[in-house]
Amino acid sequence: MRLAPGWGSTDRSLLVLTSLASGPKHGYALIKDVEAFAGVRLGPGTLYGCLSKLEAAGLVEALPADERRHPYRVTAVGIETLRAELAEVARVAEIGLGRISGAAAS
Amino acid sequence: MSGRLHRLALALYPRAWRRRYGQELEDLCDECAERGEAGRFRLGAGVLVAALRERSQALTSSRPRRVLTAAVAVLALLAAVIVPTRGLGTFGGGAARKPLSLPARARATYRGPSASSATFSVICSVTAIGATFYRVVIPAGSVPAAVGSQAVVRQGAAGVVSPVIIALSNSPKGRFGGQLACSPKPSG
Repeated sequence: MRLAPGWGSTDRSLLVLTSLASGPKHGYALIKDVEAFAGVRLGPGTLYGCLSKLEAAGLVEALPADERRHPYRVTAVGIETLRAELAEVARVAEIGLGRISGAAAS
Repeated sequence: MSGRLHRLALALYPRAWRRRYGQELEDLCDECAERGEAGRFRLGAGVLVAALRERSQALTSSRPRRVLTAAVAVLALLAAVIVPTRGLGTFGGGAARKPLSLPARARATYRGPSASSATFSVICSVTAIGATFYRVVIPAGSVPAAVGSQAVVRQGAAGVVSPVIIALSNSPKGRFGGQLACSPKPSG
């Protein structure tokens, strides 16, 4: 399964899935984690835009709320999707880096 | 989350979305504000932009919806052409009404809709249609979707709103009265 193109938030969805891969997180923890590992600051509206699409696609699921905090976790399908997406990103990165090296050598 | 901007932003989300995520989003905004991550205005503005994005994606999420959006844009173009140049009375048999009796000073100054305002209105609507068809014709995902969807919202709104604003500004009394179209240009 691949993240649906045209969501307008595919990159952000990838970041959210990557963050959730290390364990369930609520909204604020997600924002801080994504900021820490990717340097991208997601706003609450943007985050919930991603979460709603990921949940609709069955890639994440909500856990019972802890007072005002609402944690989410990635599903098995979400993990597989993330794996496929990251492999694709790595493949493209490898090609890009290879071409840069080739251009530098010639 | 408090304040008019936040309430407006939340109200802009589709109802089903709001029911499912509205409270969670509100709680997260509260937590971000309490921890000093951002001011409430900035948070509200961010939610507002996200809500518009959500709406625009809902408008263009399927081909039937994209076609519907395009149809609305075409209607906006028609309105943009007709309202500023012919007036609201063009609709609903207004042409049969009696001409508006203008005060002497208004008669002396009113020259009817200006060509530039009508042109501006048409340009806005053509842009709106262009933005809409851009989403209809070009497969989703082939370009940064945020660009297209935001353009649809912004330009679509301009296309719909501009004829109304122009009609208002062209009204000799500065308001609608159903007689705007029937007001013949004073000949002297």
